[in-house]
Amino acid sequence: MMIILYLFAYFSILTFCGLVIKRILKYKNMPVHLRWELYPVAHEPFRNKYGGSYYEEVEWWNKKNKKDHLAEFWVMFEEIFLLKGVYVHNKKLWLFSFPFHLGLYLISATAIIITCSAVLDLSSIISILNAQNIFGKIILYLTKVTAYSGLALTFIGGIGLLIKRLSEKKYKFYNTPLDIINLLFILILTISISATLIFSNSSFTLSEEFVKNLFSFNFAAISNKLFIIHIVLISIFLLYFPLTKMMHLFAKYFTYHNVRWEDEPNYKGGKLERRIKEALNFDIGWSAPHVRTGKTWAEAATTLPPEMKNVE
Amino acid sequence: MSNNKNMRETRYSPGINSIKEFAEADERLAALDPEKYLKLPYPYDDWVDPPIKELTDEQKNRLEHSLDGLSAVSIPKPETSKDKEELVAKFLAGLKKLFSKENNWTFVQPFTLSMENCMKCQTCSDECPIYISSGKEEIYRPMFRGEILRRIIDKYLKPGGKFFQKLTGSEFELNWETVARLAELSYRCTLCRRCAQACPIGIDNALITREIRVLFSEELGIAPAELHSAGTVKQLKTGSSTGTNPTAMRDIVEFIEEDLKDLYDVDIKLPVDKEGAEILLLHNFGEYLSWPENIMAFAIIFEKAGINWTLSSEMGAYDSVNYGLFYDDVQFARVALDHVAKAKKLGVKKLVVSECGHAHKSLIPIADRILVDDNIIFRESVFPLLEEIVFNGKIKFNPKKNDFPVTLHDPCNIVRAMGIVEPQRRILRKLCPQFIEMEPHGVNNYCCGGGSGFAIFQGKNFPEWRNKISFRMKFKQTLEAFKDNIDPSIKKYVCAPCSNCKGAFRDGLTYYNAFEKCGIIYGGLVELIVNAMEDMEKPFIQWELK
Ligand code: SF4
Ligand code: SF4
Repeated sequence: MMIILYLFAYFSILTFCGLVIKRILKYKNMPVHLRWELYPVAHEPFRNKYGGSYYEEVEWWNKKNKKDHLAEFWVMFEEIFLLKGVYVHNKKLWLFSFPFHLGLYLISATAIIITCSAVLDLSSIISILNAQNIFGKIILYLTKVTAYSGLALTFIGGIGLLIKRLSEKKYKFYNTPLDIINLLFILILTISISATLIFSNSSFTLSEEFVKNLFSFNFAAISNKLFIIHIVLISIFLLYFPLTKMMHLFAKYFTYHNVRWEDEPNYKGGKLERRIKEALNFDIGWSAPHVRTGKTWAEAATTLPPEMKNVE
Repeated sequence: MSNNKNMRETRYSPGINSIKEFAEADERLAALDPEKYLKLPYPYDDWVDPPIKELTDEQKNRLEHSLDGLSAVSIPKPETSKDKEELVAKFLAGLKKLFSKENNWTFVQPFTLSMENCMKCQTCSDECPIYISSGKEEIYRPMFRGEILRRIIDKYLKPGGKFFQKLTGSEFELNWETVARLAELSYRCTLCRRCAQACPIGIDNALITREIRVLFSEELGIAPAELHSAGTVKQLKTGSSTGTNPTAMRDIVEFIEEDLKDLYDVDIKLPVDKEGAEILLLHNFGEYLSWPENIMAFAIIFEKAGINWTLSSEMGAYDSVNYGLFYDDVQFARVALDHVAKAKKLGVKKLVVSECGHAHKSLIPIADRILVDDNIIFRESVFPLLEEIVFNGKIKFNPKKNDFPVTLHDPCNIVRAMGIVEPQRRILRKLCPQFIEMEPHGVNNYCCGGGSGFAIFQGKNFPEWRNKISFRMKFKQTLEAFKDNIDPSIKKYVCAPCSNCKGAFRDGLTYYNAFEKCGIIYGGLVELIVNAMEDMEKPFIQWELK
């Protein structure tokens, strides 16, 4: 029986990674699009303060336009970790959304620490979580803080979001069963993780052991029933996550870097021009008569239907 | 027109109560009750708008209008069930194409990102001037259109069956009414992208709206006449969306030269098709017809500054308009390519776009991804050039000539979409001692309400909707900016450096009787520059609402 649990865990982890990578590649490999940036563009040096661009200069193409990558990083940091946009535009939601997200980050951080600890211990490099020295104790203590605060924040935030979704008209109107299930699922997970931590996994020993077993293909028996339920729930969540809108976590990189801040000008002979030429040669299949004047996009754009031909 | 309490007796439909009603309701989906519209400040605090007038019975019988009683797109009601089915089938086929990299490479990446990742957090809602001004009509909520589309996609384009449909709430039937209402709804958003700017995830509801328009135009051949048959089609055919041909263009230039002499004692010949010119200045042709003083002001500034410039009378090169930007990528590309071809023919060093927001965005950043090889020519905005002229000392200015309250409207396409924020402000700060910012301003501005083509929609009851709803927030901002000088005896100037924005201001200020009630007029930036010139003997700005 135990092997099924392990196989299920492998399956869910691999599926999760596979689907996340697939989604990322899908966004990444899409063709070049027409420019659609939105100001402020974070990497615009100095002018990013008020939303200016290089178009504010006469003959902008003769000016060196450096990018302020640090500013871009900082805006991204504020957006991801502080949810600044929500804070500025929707404070009432931020009160719950911020703890919810921060809590999830802390829980993820805990999972990463446990995984790292397991890998390092397994490869006999160093013991972290179960080291008996002062270093190990500090790490263990900090990991506990991360885990418990993460769980508490996620739970409080999640309850708040759920109440808002179920009680306020502007949310209720658009709710689908899936929206509620997403939140409920996360709340159930926080309860299951908390229960395991409190009752049987207070020093993350079971978790670390399980991760080690996964890495070493050692399908050792797990006697703790609560922990088994916990593994099953997490595995289901890993399978479920990539099918939901929670993937916005990864999409956000593209909405910002590839759309809002994508202000690359097109110069003759450049890489961008090559990509544009490629796109212009795509076959066009729209059906409206005024568009059906050529096989490729470029042909359609350069061939006018009779009713549009110059009358001069 | 105001305070017409009798009109209150009109009964308003209750609006929409569930998302399913979008497909199923027999009644109109928006209440549009003037009592609920955004309240305006003094002296409009007791202003009550009369209800938007109904379409005529003939129009009602012929055209789809069940969304909110308007018909911007003029979709005829299908006569047979076969027609209805065909409409739905074509719509679904088009919807698929929006996600195909071949058909829609132009926007497939941002569109897919926006469609797949909205968390329905409603952060965008309160940023939308139309949603707020209408009294929060549910169907005008920025994410509403996307949400309808998502449910259609979940039901008709994704596998999963009934169970999946239950989970995603996409059980409603796609009927012709849904399709037609969606087409109409895509013309209740100015594509100002204020909602997109607020979205923490980066979802762009304006783009979703635009792509719905693209679907209807490129797949079903459905688009408002103002944009298509009387817009891009006419422009490609005659050289201008106004229908003006090159001969008429040259005549108009002559009239303008005469007016310059008669009205301002300025003897200037406007260069047309000048060989060896460095700059081809491209105006929205609406300026020649409705605001010739803008053309005159540009001529005065450029001549006095010693700029080597020209206009073109070449068909297609005297009208910067490109309405394709608002609804159809192929039409957009055709017009942009035409502009570039004509500029190349003249051999100018660069193409400079004058005071027109959508022309700025069309020709400078958006066309950038259509142009290849020799079509990549230098294109820039006129604002940095104007700034250079105002600050380089060649022309002497006397700001006292502009000593009246001035506020600035930021055209979305120039500011939020292109980041040209400061040049126009630096000019105003130098030349207008009583310059006051609107709040919010710059990249956070509100649209004039005429964006995405609305300024030129003059059919049926649409202008009423525009004045009462989509212009309302801008009018509120304008009144607030001038609140300390609101008395009509103090003349005030809204600087709106964009032809379409000026169109919206013209109609909106006229509707609210704002010149008589508050002394507010509108105009461009160059008019203020010329008005402040030391050696202009006569005032350039005429204090009347045009
Ligand atoms: S578009 Fe953005 S801000 Fe609006 S509801 Fe969706 S996620 Fe929230
Ligand atoms: S683009 Fe502007 S008008 Fe359209 S939904 Fe967004 S905020 Fe409203």
